[in-house]
Amino acid sequence: MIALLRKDRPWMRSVIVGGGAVMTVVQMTTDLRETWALPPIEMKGLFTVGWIWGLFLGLAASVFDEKLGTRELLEHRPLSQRRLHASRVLACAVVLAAWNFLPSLLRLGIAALLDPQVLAIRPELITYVWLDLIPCTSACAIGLFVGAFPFRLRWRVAISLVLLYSLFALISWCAEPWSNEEQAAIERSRWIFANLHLATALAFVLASFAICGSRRDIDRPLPPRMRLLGVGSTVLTATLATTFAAHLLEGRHSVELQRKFPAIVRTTRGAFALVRDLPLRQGPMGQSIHSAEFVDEEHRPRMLGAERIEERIAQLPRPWLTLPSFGAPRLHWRTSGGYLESGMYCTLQLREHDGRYAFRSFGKGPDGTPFAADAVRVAKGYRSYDSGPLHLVFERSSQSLWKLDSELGSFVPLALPNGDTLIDVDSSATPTEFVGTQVVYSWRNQEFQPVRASGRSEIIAPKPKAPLLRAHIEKDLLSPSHQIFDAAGTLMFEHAYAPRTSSERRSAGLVIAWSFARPPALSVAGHLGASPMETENALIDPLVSGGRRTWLVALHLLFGALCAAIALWRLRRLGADRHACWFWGVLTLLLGLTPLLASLCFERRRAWSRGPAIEPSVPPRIVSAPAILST
Amino acid sequence: MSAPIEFEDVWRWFGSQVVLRGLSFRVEPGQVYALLGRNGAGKTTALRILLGFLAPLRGRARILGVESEQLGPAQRAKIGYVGEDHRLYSTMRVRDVVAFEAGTRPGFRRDLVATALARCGLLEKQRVRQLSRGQRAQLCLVLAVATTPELLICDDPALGLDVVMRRELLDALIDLLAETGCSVLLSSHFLQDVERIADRVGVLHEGRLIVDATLEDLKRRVRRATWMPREGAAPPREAQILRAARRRVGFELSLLDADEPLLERLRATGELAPLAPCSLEELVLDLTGPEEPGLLRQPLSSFAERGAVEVRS
Amino acid sequence: MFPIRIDPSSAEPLYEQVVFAVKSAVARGAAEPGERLPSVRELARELAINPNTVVRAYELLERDGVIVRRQGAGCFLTGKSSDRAVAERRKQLQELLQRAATEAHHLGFAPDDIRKALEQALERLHFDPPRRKA
Repeated sequence: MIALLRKDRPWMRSVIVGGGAVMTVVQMTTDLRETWALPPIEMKGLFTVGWIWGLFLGLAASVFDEKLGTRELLEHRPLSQRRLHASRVLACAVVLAAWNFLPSLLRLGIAALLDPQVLAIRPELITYVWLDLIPCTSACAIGLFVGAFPFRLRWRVAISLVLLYSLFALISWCAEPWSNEEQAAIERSRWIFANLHLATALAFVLASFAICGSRRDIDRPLPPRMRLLGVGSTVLTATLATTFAAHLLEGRHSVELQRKFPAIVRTTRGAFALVRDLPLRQGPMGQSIHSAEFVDEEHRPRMLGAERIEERIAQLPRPWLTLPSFGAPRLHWRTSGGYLESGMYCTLQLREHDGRYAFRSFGKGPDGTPFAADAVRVAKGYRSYDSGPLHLVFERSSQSLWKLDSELGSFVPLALPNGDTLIDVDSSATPTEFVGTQVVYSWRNQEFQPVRASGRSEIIAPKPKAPLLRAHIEKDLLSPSHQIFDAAGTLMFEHAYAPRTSSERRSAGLVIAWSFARPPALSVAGHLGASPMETENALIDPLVSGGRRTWLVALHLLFGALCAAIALWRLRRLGADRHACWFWGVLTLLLGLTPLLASLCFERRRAWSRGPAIEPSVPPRIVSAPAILST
Repeated sequence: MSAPIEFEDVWRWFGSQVVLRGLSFRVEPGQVYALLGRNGAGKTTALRILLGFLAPLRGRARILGVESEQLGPAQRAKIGYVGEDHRLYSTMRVRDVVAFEAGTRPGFRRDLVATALARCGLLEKQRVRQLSRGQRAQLCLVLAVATTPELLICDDPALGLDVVMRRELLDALIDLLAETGCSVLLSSHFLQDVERIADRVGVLHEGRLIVDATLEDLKRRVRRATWMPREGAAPPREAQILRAARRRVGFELSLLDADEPLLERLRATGELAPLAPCSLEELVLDLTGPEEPGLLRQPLSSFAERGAVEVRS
Repeated sequence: MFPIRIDPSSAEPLYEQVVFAVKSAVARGAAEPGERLPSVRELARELAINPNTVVRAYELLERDGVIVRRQGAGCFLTGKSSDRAVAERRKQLQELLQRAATEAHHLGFAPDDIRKALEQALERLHFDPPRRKA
């Protein structure tokens, strides 16, 4: 097997050098301390470079002889296909090992040359580099597996990309850290991430052994093993990708629809109204652009005139369905998530760009006293480019304002100028206004600037939030309903939304149409199992989740059966064997449209053709008896 | 010992193009079998099927007693193969090639290769991509015979070689035959070489084997003669007349097993020149060429007028 | 040693050409009894023909008693001409002459011319000084 590597040496050398150089450059772009001295940051670049090169490596190893035209030369030797394939796997392993060590060593070597007094390097941190390079291994295994498919190269590249995207998205989803708080959660999620990738790599390497040596022959049906493993995995991942795409498209069309979903507000006159597009978006300077359009219960646009919005009661969250993506596990810092958790500590993210040791507890003063429960972050819209975002916390109960001093690592009290006393912070204004007893200030150029005289002279106790109204929203992509009850539980307002105008109906129709691209089996599972409004999970159809729209599930099932019938009818006509019929029948019944389309691609007429009519065999015109040689 | 190579009604098509139509023949142990035919007659396809690189769509090919599709390491060890394009890893040097083969083939005789290379004038440090076509072909043959195979399969080994190289190749083959008495199946376009070395020839034409005979038999049984019909009589359609090519005057007939009754019949309708022996080249031309000489040089429009070119098989 | 020449593209089978070459050398006196024939491999390489053909030719020659095979030493000329049964030999001679006569007839020669030519051929066989090769 080592002898077989002799032929692979040239490409191994160039791939090691090429990939290694890119990885070194990517490593150079991160600060040495951040990678090798402190707990390392996530190297997104390394991750991306890793999977691209890994996939390339796997495909290259798999198709090298085929594309060089030396496949027959290689195969005509007394070695089994498995041995030949094992040598490919070995070549990949050597390259991967080189990639895991050489760029790091090179990077450290360059650093040592540039600065001989390199600070304390912790060699054990290479595991974090490996963590970002692990997708390289699984991508390589996927490349090896798909490279052995007996299809055209461009198809193989496409299939490998589908496989890689779906599986990586799935792994990233499984390894998603659900808690933003703890380092331990991140460690656990990294552990899951690494192990899932290794398991994937192992599975694909084993699968590649099972299908290695299959030759492309479009005049013959696919070998059963190739169909089961190769085509099966392709169809499954393609279904996954289609589901993601359907999810995204459903989301896009439903967002079209729900731009018209209004918020419920109470106007100054005390009437309830549905208000559309409130607030629309953040302006470039951080200000909100309000463009309120009032609609009545039949949601026909009607201007509300001089009426103002007194209170916003409820707004349907927009179900922005996101496409699953993949990446190394990292903290997902949700900036809207709030700075203050349980009122105890203000935890701040110092480095927002990576989310590494992102969580630190800060309190009042150097000893870090916790804030009171009613502390809120203020200073909306303040961002100076030299000092970074402004972190101001207003503790209402003590009427004190605190500013983060990032050098001290704690909040320091901030007093209004001229001995003025802070009585309120008006967060609704942009920029935020600080109301003193005499003057209203805004924060500009690192200090308070007077805006106008304050109308209020005394400290106003914060208006207790009147728990007067309770809104109940039945979330749904197409027909959400709102109910508003008062404190006593009396229904005060009710509105059930349904698409009414033709453009709304069109959008709704598209949402439903796209749901047919999802596999019927998942539709049933989501219908029976999932909670009502799943928008995070792309695998579950929000239209039917939580027992809604049974008729749609039935239609989905019917559609699956129709797909299966079409696939089977076609295969019968082509004269496919039982194995192929069973395979595609089951897949289309469960997964619907994608396997049907795949069966059109993978089961070609030529492969099942019975060939020309059998002619009576014509004996050669000149024939002599088999010569018996006397030797 | 069973036949090392056996084709049984092998069919192969690529889409609508049928390449082999029921190919059946066998190569006996120790025999040198030459597969002849025009380009695209299906020779390479037949050999690739035999070596398991391509699957037969009907029928089966057996090699060293196993189905070609189940050809395993044990059998491959006994088969030498020289492909049509003499493909080698182009980045290697000659010594790498030898080391690669030695490492991947048990029973590889390096001493044999070393002397053979010296005889061919190949240097160990030469790069494969710098070798001439002939040198590559020689190297391939040397490597193929270095394991002293029981069976050697060559797909047009002499293609693109000059006359000296071809003779060198022939010598290497003769050495192998003299030493091991292995069976050889080769396809070739160089009929003079085939005449020297083949025991038996098969002529493939449009996917069918139209000749499967020993060389002696072939030469003894096929004769040519010029025949001048009286009053424009057409040559009789008889199985014994392989081909009647129209000449400036009369016809050039190729006769199979020409016996007296046939000759009498021909003499009755025309004037028959004495029978002449026929070389392999003429024979193959007669069997696989167009009906009339010079047909291929005519403009395409004249083909259209005639309809399809009918080639007798 | 005596030269053996063949013409691969001639209609005559190669082994017969080899047999004929040896026999004619013996008949001409170009080869002496006891002379060692080249080994199969040597001759095959020299003529660039299949060793099987040489083997076959040698077998025929041995059967005809022209050569004798000694284990491990090679094949040697006996000096005898073919010792096959007289009847068979006669039959072969008849066939040979029949063929020659037919061909000659078709070449347009009168029987007398043919007879004369045959006699001349016989004379050449006997009175030509044997050409020896080093």
